[in-house]
Amino acid sequence: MKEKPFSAYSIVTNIIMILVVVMVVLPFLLLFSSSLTEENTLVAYGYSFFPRKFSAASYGYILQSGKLILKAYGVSILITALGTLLHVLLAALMAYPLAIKNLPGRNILSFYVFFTMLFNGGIVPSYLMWSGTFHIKDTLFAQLLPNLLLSAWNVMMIRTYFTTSIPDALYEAAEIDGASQFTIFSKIVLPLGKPILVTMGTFAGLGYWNDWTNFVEGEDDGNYKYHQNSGWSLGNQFQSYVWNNGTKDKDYWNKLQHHNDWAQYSPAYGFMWDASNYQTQITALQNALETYRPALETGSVGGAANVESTLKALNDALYAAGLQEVMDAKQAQLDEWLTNNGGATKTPENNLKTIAGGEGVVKN
Amino acid sequence: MAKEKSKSSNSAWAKFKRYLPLYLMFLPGGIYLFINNYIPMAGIIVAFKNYNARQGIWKSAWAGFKNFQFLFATPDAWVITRNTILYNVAFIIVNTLLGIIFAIFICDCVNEKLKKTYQSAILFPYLMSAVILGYIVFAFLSQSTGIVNNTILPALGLEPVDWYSQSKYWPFILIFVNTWKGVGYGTLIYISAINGIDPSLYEAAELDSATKWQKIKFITLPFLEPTIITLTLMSVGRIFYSDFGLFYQVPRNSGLLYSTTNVIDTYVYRGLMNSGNVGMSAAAGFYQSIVGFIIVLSANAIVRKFSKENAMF
Repeated sequence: MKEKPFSAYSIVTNIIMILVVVMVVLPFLLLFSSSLTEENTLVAYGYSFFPRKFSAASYGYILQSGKLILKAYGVSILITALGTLLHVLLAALMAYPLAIKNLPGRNILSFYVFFTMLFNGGIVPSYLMWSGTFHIKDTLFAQLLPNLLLSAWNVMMIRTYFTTSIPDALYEAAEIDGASQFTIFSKIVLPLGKPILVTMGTFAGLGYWNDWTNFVEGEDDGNYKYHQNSGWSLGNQFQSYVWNNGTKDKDYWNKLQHHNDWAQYSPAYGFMWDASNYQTQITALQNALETYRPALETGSVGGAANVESTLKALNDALYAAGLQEVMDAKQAQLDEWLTNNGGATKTPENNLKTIAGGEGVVKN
Repeated sequence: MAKEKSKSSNSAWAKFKRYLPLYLMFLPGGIYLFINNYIPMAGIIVAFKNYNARQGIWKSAWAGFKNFQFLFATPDAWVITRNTILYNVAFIIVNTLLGIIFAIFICDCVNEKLKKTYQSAILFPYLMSAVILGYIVFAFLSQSTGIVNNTILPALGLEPVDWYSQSKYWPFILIFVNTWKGVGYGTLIYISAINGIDPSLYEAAELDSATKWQKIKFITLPFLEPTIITLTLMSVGRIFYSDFGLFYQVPRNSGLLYSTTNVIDTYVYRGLMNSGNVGMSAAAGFYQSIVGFIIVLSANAIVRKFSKENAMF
């Protein structure tokens, strides 16, 4: 539906579309110019469309890891190209039968496709199946196969396009001429369906390009060489020298150790609170706390005058979420535990035994 | 009689033979969906279990509907359900309307270069992750460094606004941001649908000296109807879900905004972030799916009543 170039309609629509383009591009421009602005200037003067002080440090930071990035791009391009091609082919093959109005069982097949858009079993079963049954972990297939190879959404979109934009008469004529379904598919349906296939290919490609959940390089606990629980390399204060400016004894650590050994255990030492029956309240409490905590911690409640009222609001929200119930339950559990476990305050002698016993356990 | 029977079985065979290639075409995708989607669906039973990692999914004890409680028995239940539904309804309406309008405008553009520019520009934000989107919005709305408070509002002689603590602005901000990011998707689909319309229809209308609006009303919109219905039905199926990135990253998880930004997904995330309760998060997902499922079945039944052609199944 082409319009004459200078009709009022075409001028108005073009102006609107140009405004839309500007609205789309401006934020990216802002992002780009901030990426070229020096960090301190950004903090001091705020974001602006023209860098106050130019700096390409952010890009230098990215390019530091040059080789790795090149390799990553190679993998991404390969996977995206291959995945998109397969995705479009599979989806078109699947959508075509669904577009034939008198195909027996068409509704059941459509439902079979649509159902997968609503329900899923979550990441864990999916991971167990792909890695356990199909052994695709640590291969390129791990990026290609799970989830992205076919999308029910895209199949339904292609099907809708086929039903509306390819006239039934075309199929019938081709069938009368003795063309097989595969010929009709490749000679009529695919060429006529090009607009939607290109669109869906774009989205499938984006899916592959932006994907980060299908992790390829096979790092797991079996071959992972860097461990962050590096406590063994750091030692502790009791093994180090006393940082002495003359105020501490040379045997400061020994004294501290002795002091610690004589500390009294809490009467509740060893008590574990079983919250499994209160998950509902705890979830609500967590949300209530998150609502006010960051504002209170950072002092952004709108002035000192509002601190008290915000605290009150937090408390009200916590009690409304069932704080009293949870506290009562925890207290009841603690009381019960105390009656069963004697509630005897551990004596320092017991402490020393515990420590000795503890070491024994470690040695065994 | 015998002849009759053999004839009817012959025709059944002929029918099967005629449609066999079509079933074969469906097969590869069908197998893929079975493996990738249907087999892992067994994991849904976690929602009814007291999940214990050591015992695994199957051996964990049954919990009945206990995992679902937290979605209803909280003071926030009403807010998160209301927010989720209202935002989704707004998104569906705004994105459909604007998508169709932009698609018609773009398809009417005579200049091929401009057309290509519009088409790629409008899809551009769709490519972005929610984290980056959050930063872009922050660059505009930040209290002290944002371009709105720093440049735009002073230029208009207005006081700066503390955007991240005023919940009343957020329905508009979120709808705007969602449209900005997502309208390109629908636009592109509607463009491909319009491109599939037979140009001779417009030429005939031209000869009858139809107005622009008449052409849109009697040719374009009826042709877009199936696409609109399919897209809307599919969005309705996910009406209890929400774009987690949009509702979590863009308001920067600011507690003061929860009354207008908290949706089921963010509530579940915040509530379970620390406890990591697998059963409860599975229950939330199952609840979202089942409600969407019921709504979509009813919507589809209504569509089927009015136009059988356009129903999804």
